[in-house]
Amino acid sequence: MPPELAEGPIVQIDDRYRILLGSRVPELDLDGAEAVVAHDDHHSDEAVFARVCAPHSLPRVELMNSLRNMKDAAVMRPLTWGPVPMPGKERPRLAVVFNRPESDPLMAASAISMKPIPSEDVSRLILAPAVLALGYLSQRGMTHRAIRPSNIYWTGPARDTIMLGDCVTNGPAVNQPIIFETISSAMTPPVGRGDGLTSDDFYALGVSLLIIITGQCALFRASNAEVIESKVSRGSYAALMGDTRMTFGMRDVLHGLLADDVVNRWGLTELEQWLIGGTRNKVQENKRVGVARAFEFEGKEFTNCRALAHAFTLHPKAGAKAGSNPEFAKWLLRNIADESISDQIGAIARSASTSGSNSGLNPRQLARVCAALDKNGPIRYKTLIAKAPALGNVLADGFMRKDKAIISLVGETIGNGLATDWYTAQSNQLQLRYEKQMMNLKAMQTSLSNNGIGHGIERCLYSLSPSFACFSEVLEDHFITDVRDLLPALEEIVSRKGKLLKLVDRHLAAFIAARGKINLDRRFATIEAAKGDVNLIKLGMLGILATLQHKYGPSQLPALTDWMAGELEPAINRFGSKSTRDELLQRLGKAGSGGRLIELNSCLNNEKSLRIDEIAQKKATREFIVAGREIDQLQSKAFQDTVQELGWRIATGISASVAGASVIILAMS
Amino acid sequence: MATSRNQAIKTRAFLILAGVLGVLFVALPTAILLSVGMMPTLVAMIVDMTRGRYLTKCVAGMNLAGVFPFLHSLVTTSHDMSTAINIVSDPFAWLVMYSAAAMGWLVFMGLPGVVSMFKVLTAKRRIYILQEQQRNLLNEWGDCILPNKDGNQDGDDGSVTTSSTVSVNST
Repeated sequence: MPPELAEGPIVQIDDRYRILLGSRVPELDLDGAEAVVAHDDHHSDEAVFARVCAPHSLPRVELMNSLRNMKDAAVMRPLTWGPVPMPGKERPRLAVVFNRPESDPLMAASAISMKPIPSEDVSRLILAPAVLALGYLSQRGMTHRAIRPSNIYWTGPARDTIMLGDCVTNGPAVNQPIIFETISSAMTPPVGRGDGLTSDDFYALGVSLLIIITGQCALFRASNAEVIESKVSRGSYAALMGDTRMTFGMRDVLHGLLADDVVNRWGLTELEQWLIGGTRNKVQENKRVGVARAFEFEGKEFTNCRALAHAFTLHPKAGAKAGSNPEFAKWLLRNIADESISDQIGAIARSASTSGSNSGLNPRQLARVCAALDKNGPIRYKTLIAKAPALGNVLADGFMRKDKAIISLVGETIGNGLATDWYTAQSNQLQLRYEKQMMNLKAMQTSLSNNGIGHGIERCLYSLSPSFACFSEVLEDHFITDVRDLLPALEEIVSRKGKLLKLVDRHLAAFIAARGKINLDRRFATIEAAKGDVNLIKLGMLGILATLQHKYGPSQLPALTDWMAGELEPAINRFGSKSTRDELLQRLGKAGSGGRLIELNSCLNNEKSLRIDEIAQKKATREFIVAGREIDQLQSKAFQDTVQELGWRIATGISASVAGASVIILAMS
Repeated sequence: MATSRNQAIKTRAFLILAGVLGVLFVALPTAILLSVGMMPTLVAMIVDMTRGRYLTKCVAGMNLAGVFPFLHSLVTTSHDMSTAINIVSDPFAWLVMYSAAAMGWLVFMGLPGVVSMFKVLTAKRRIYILQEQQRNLLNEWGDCILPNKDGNQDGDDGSVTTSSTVSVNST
């Protein structure tokens, strides 16, 4: 039976693509993403397939949105994507539909060697289209981060050009073998590498070219530690080339692409010049500046700051002691040309000695020492190793794996300023590039100090990891990355199950706060001011959801509105007046059946009505008190006395009148 | 100081005595008629315990109304002793003067009761209206408007006795 006919659940996306989850296409698997058969119902002759993202993967949804419309770029473009349900309690995974590649990849995924391609063909068939594709990506500020021979496909009728493979079904560089990564990225665990820069893609392209031309790589069989050590000690070019000989022209290209110093690394301009035959000065050999004396740490001798920072991270206790050792400062002063490093580390060591700690540097100080030793390297804090732009991915990974330790570490890293320090340590050019991310991170630093709903670590998660789907259990099997899809999803759940699991949820609130392009600070402040009052918190959430409906639609949410109307009925008791409550109850019924959260919100969250009610209540209280006083006065002894005196006064008046009348009558007679 | 006050009292007493003697000398018949006819007022003045001396005023007014026709007759005729004696020895004159005084006394005793009855009825009606108003307020707002109720901004008003509120609740 052909795989297309295999049985299994069928999921339809966009009312167009049918995905046959039971029909595997293993030859198109990419790392953890399983390839399955898909059909395009609109164009049945179009060969498509889908990749179901691996569990705990971090699909680059934001990149998919941009890449979908880049028809000119020779990159495997996602046609569409959507969640597919998984059996059991597993969360739904994202399936991404692609056009089926016309040919195989340049190299099988499991292979460690391939048939070499002559360098003169490589520049025409592979390098030129690859540079063009990277140019397109670079123009839009995107990186591929999965360039390797096994993810580059031949295309064209005569296999005369290439297409860069899928870069969206997993996080950036997450499945990239370490030899394709720059030294700093190689020292970082996959999930902490982040989107990186276009220069990282060029480095991976350089390694790929080397393998394509030579058919192998000297470091293919080496362990990760050996690859890092070799690259650090010899430089990437020398380490990767080994004893391989390269043609003259291509040697320049590889030198340029594999330069460890990002400033010297070849980019678009240099490659375009080289491709059109322009002259280009040869890249200087990566000079390994020798030091007079090596620093001994954990039985090994180090002559390189970057390697030492890496070693400190691997042995944090010993690193904490060594970092505060005056001998280390002396070694830096005598052997490292960059005096700023020894100055910074000296200052950190002095502050550690004044704090009187016997165990040397504390984790934060050690992280700062490592950052001073390797400013382009990752943040190295306790067990967390990640580049600052990748903290969102690390956090997302931590949430998916329910790893509280890593979640807490990311929070600490942002909170104690190590992440912002990482950005400020970068070159001015890079700082400009990272400006938006840095601003975002500073905002998150403030948000972390607030543990209220809509803030905290969850807000960081959704702000720093823009592709991460909302993790709220309220959303059940929905995969929501765009805030526009949130209300329709909630509506679907309520119409199916009659209710939501809960209305107020930290993930839901943080997701809206981070992804909704609306200023909801006042709403969140209201929720915070509720101080645990369930009704007020629910009303706050209603306000937020109503704002979402107003901004993004849909105009009708009958099931959700009706359920929320019932859920929020007790909130009517905020109003003291019975007639107001009765009126609101009627309006609530109407709003509930009207399908508009905005109506419901204006009915229940009306501050003006509430103020009027408060004023009326005060007036009623005064009236009650005044009436009570008057009753007391009318029942008092003083009132009886007054009445008696009044009677006497009247009697006296009558008597005087009679006397006066008689006098007048007689006087006039 | 004390000497000067005694001197003033003595002077005033002398002046009153001189005035009375003067009146007796000039209008002795009128004085005889008034002293006999206004006797009930004198009695009322002695027994009056009210703060504003309402009994005295009430009896005096009516008593005067009863005496005045005879006084008028005396003054407008001869104004002599024989006419005055004739009037004070006439039982009809006594009946008229003392009945008028008695009327004054009766008015003093009866009218406050009548007034009080009207006022109390009006007050009861007012109390009923106020209690109805309080009941309506309680129906509309509930306990939150009760004085000394938690969350009631005006509830700390100590000037209101709770008795009235309790009586309203029990109604």
